[in-house]
Amino acid sequence: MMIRILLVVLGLAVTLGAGPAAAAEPERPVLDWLAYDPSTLADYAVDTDVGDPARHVAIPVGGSAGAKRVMILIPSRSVAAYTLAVNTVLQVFARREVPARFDIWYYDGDTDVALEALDWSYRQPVDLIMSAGSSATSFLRAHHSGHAIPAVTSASKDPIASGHLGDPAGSGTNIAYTSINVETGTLVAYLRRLIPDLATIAVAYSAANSSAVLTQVNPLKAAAEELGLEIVDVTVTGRETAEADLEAALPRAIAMMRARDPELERSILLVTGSTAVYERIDQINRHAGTLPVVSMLPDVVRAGPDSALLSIGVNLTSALTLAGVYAVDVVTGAADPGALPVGTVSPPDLAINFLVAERIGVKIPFSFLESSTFVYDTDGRQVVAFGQRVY
Amino acid sequence: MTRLFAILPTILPGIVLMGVSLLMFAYVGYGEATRVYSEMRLERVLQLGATIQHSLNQFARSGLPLDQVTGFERRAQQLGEVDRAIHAVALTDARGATITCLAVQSGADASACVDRLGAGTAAFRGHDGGRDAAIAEVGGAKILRLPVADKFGTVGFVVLFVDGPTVRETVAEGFGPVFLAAGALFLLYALAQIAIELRGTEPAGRWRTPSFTATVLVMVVVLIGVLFQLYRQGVEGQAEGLARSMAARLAAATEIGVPISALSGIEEALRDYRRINPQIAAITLSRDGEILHRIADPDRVAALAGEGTLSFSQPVDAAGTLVLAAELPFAVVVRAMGVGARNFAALFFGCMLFATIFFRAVRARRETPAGIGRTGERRSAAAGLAILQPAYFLGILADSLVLSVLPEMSDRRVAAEGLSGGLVSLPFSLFFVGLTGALIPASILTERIDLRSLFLAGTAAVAAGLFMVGLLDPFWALCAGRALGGVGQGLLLIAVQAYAFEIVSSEERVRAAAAQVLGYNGGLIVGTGIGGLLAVFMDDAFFMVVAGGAAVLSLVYIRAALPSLRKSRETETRQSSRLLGDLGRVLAFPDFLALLALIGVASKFALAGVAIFAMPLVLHQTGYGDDEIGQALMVFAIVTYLVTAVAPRLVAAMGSTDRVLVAGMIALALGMAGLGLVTGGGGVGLGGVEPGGAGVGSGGWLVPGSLTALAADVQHWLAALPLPAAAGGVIALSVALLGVGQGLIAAPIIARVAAGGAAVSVGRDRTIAVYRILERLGHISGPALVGLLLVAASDNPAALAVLGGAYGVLAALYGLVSVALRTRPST
Repeated sequence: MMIRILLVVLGLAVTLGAGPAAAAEPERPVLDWLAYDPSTLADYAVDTDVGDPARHVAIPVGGSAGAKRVMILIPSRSVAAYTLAVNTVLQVFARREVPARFDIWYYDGDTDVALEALDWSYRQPVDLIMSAGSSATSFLRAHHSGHAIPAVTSASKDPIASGHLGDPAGSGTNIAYTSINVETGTLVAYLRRLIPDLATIAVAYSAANSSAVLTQVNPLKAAAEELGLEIVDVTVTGRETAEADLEAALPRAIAMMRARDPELERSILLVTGSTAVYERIDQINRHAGTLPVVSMLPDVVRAGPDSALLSIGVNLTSALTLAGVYAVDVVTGAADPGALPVGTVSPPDLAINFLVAERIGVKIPFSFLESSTFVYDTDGRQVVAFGQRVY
Repeated sequence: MTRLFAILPTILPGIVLMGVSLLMFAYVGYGEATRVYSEMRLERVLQLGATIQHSLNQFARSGLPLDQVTGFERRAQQLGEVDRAIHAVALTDARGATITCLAVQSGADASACVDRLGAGTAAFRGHDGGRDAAIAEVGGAKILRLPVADKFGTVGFVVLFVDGPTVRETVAEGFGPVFLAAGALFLLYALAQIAIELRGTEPAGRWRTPSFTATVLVMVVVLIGVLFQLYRQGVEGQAEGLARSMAARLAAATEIGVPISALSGIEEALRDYRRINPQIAAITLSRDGEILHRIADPDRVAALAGEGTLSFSQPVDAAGTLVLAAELPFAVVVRAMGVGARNFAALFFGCMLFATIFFRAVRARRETPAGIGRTGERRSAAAGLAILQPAYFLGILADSLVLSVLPEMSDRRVAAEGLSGGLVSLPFSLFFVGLTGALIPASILTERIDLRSLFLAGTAAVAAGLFMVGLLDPFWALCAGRALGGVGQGLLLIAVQAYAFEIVSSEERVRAAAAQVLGYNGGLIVGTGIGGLLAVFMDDAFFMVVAGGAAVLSLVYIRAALPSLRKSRETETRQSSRLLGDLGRVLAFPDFLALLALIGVASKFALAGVAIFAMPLVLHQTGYGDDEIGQALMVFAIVTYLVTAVAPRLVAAMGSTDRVLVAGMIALALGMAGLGLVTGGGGVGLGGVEPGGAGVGSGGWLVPGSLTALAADVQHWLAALPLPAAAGGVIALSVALLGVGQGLIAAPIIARVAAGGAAVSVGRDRTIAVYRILERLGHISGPALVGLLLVAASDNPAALAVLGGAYGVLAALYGLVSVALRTRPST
C-alpha cells in the first residue's frame, strides 16, 4: 500500500512538474529481442504490440477465460538466458494443463519501470509474479516481500548464499525461491561417490567473481568444515592475470594436497563457474596430471583431451523447469510459497569425458553414467547428448 | 447289444461322473494355468518394457520434451521380436495424448494401434497420478503402462499392448496333452466299466471306486506334469525379462564405446537390482566365462552353486563376451504349483465324495432292481437310503456351489442400485425365512402327497431360485431367488426326513438321520469346494445358471432313480396343530429357555450370520479369490461334519453335555475373534460404499480404536513372520474353529433338550420339534444383524471380534446358568 501511495505521489509530482522545458524522459525499454519457440507459439497467442514496448502478452490459444494471470519480470537483455526462461515457463504451464495469461515485462535495469510493472500487476491484479534472473529476484525481495500476491523466482543464483533467506526449508513469506546452483550437500555427495575416501578439494575460482565466491566457494567451505574435508584455494584475480595466477597457484595447491595425500588418490580439483578459470581447462589439466578435475559447469566437459573429467552442475533448462513447476503449484494453490523449500534440481546434470577418465585412471560410477546428460567416449568423441545417443 | 443296454443303468452314472470329473479337472487346470502363466508372462513383459522405460527416463531427465526422442521405434521393434505377445508399443505424454504408436508384429495395422491406444488411455482413467506401473484390461488384451519421468515428475508413458489370445495360445499348446489324456482316460474307464459289468461277476462292483480313484489320480499326475512344464517355461521367461532388463542398462555403456572396466559401482547396481526384484536367486556378470560380479541370495545356498535355478543369459556387448545371467529359483515354480495343488486337492476330494455317494446308490439300485418300498416291504433299508442320499446331496450341492460368490454379488447389486449397505444381508435372511416358512406346510404336505413329488418340488424351487438370480439383474430378483431357494431347501429337508424315516424301521432311525447328515454335509463340502473353483473362471450370473443346471440334474436323478412313496397315515399324529400349545408349555422351563437363547439360537446365528454370510464377504473384500473362499467354506463344512461325529464321544469323555456346549460356544467366540483380527482394521466396503483392503481405519461407534489398533498389530506381526501364508493359516484356523463350535453344539444340544425338564413334562419329540422351529430365529436374524453390525462398524471386519467377545460372554453366562439350574433345589 505504501509503495502504491508513493508511486501515485511520484506520478502526480512528475505530472505537475512537467512543462515544455521539462527534462527528457528516460528511454522506455524495448522488448524486441525475446524470441518464442514454435512449441510455445503452438500453445499461446503472443502479442508483441500491446501499446507498451516494454511488455509482451501471451494468451493460451484456447482463450483467456478462466486463465490464471502471471507476470514475468525480466531485468536485462540477456537474449539466450531469458528467451529460454520465458519459453520454458510457458511450456511447463501448457504441459501441465494450467491455462495462464502471461504479461512479460522488461525493465532493463530501470527500477522505475520495474516499480511501474509491480504497480501494474497489483492493479490487475495478477495471480503470480515471477522473476527471471538474480537481479529481478533481488528486486522482488526488496519491493514485493510480504505482499498478498505470491511470487516465484527463476534463473537465479542460490538464494541462501545471496542472503535472501536463511532457512532452505522455506522463506516463510510470499516468495518461493529456486536456484540454478547445485545444492552443496548434493555436490559433496557426488564427489564422494567418485572418490569414496575424499579428503581434500582444491577449489579454483576468481576472487573478482563475487557471484562464484558467494554461491559456490563459500557454501562449499562451510560444508567442508562440517565434513572434515580440507579446502585448498586456487585463486585468480581476473581474466587478464588468470594464466599467470594459475601457473603459480596450481603447483602450490597440488603441493599442499600431496602433503596430505601423496598419490592424490583422495583429492579432487573443483573448477567453479568463474570464466577466468574454466576457460583455461587445458592449463589446469596440464598441472593436475592424474588429479581428477571436476567442473561445476557442463561446458567444461567437452570433446577431446582438453576437458574436465566430469561436471556436476545444473542445466539451465532443468532449473527453469523446476521454477515452472513451482509456479504451477503456487498459482493453483497446491503449495504455499512460504512453505516451499528452496528449489534445487536433483539429481544434478552430469557430463563425463571417458578419455580423461582413462588417462588419469579413474573409474566412473555406473550410476553417474546412467544419469548423465552428456558423455564423451574413450576417444573423446561425443556419444550422448541430452541423454540420447548421438551416432 | 441287448446285454449292453441292460447294464447301461448300472455303468452310466459312473461313466458320466468320470466324464464330468475329468472335464472339471481339465477346466479348472486350464483356468488355473491361464491365470498363473498370464501373470508370469505379464511380469516378463513388464521387465522387457523397463528396458525402454529406462532409456526414456534418461532422455526426459535431460530436460527435452518426449516428442524429440529418437530410437524409440528401434527399441519397440526389439520388444516385439523378443515377445510375440507384445502387439503394439506406444509413447504418450502425461495427458495420454499419443506421441508415437507402433504395431510391432508383422501384419499388424498401425491405425489399429492408435485405436487401441485410445481405449488403453480410457482404461487408465481414474488411476492414480501414474507414478507406478499399471495394468488394465481392454477387450481381452492387457495394457501395461510404465511412467516416464523427468526430474520433476511424470512426463509421459510407455504403453505396451499384450495380446490375450497369444498368451492363451501358449497355455492351450501346453494343455494339448491334458485334453488328450482326459479323452483317453475317459474311453479307457468306460471300456473297463463295460468289460467288468459284462463279465457279470459279483465282485465287479468292488472295482468301481478304486478304478475311479486310479483314473482321476492319473489325470492329476498328467496335469501336474503339464503345469510344471508350463510354469517352468513362464519362470524362464521371467528370468529372460530380468536378464534383458539389466543387460540393457549395462549395454547402454558398451554400445557407446564405454568399457565396463571403466566403470565402478557395477556390483552395487546388480545388488540394487536384486533388491528390487527379490525373486532373483542370483545375477551374474561374466566375461568369457570368468565371473566378474555375482550377487546371490545368501538364503539360497543351492543357488550359489548354480543348482536349483532357472537361468537366462543375455550378452551385454556386441562381441558376446560379456554376459549377464539372471537366475530364478525352482521354488518359484513350486510355489506356483502349490496354489494349484490346493485347488486340485479340493477338487479331488470333492470328486471322490461325489463318486462315493453315487457309487453307493448305483450298487443299491443293482441290489434292489424292483425299487424300494416302505418299511416292511423294503428289501434293504440301507439300499433305500443309498438311493435317497444323492437326491438330497445334489439339492444341497446345487445351492452350496454359489455360496462363495453370493455375498459379493449381493454387495455389488446393492451398490449398483444405490441401496443402503445394510440391505446386503437381506437375501441371506430371506433364504432362512423361506426355509423356516416352508417347514410346517411341507410337514403337512408329507401326509397328503407323494414324497417324491415333495422332493421334486423342493429341488425345482432350488433350481428356479438359482435361475432367477442368474438371469435377472435387479436386487429384488436376488432376494426373491434366495427366498425361493430357502423354500426349496425347507421342502427338501422335510422330504428327506419323511422319506428316510418311511423306509427304515423305528430301530434304524439313527441310520436314517446319519444318511441325512451325510447328504447335507457332503453336498455342502463338495458344493462349496467345487463351486469356489468354478466361480473363479466364470461370470457370477452365468455361474448361477450353471448351479441351477446342477439342480435340474438332481431333478432328473429324483425322477429316474427315486421311487414314488407315500407316507403311511397310521403313524401320523397331529403334531403341527399342537405346536402352538407346546410352545407355551416348553418356554416355561428355564433350562429350555437358557439352552435356546444362549446356545441354540446363538449357534445358528453364527452359522448363518458369520460362516455363510459375513465370512465370504469379508474374505472377498480382503482380497481372497472365489476359490479360496470356497475352500474356506469347505474347511468349515468338513470340520463341522467331523466334529459332529465325535461330539457324542466327547460328551461321554467329559461327562457333561453342558461343558461341551460351553466349549462349542468358546470355539465360536475364538473363531470370530480370529477372523475379525486378521481381516479387521479397515473398511471392507459393504454396500460398495468404500473400497476394501486391510489397514487401520475407523470402526464406527462399535469397534473401539484399541481393537482396530490390535487388529493392525496382529496383521503386521503375521506379515513379519517368515511363514509365507501366516495370515491365511490363521484365517483357516478361525474358520475351522467356527466349524468346531458348530460341530460341538449341533448334536449335543438336541440330546440336552431331550434330557431337559421340558422334554420330561411335554414329551421329548414335541419339545425337540418346538426347539427346531425356534432355533431358526438364529438362522433368520444372523445375516440381518451381522450385516447391520458391519454397517455400524463402518464396514470394519474387527466387528466380528466384538461379536466373538459377546459369544464369550454368552458361553460364561450359560456355564453359570447351567450350574445354578443343576444345584437349584427341586420344588
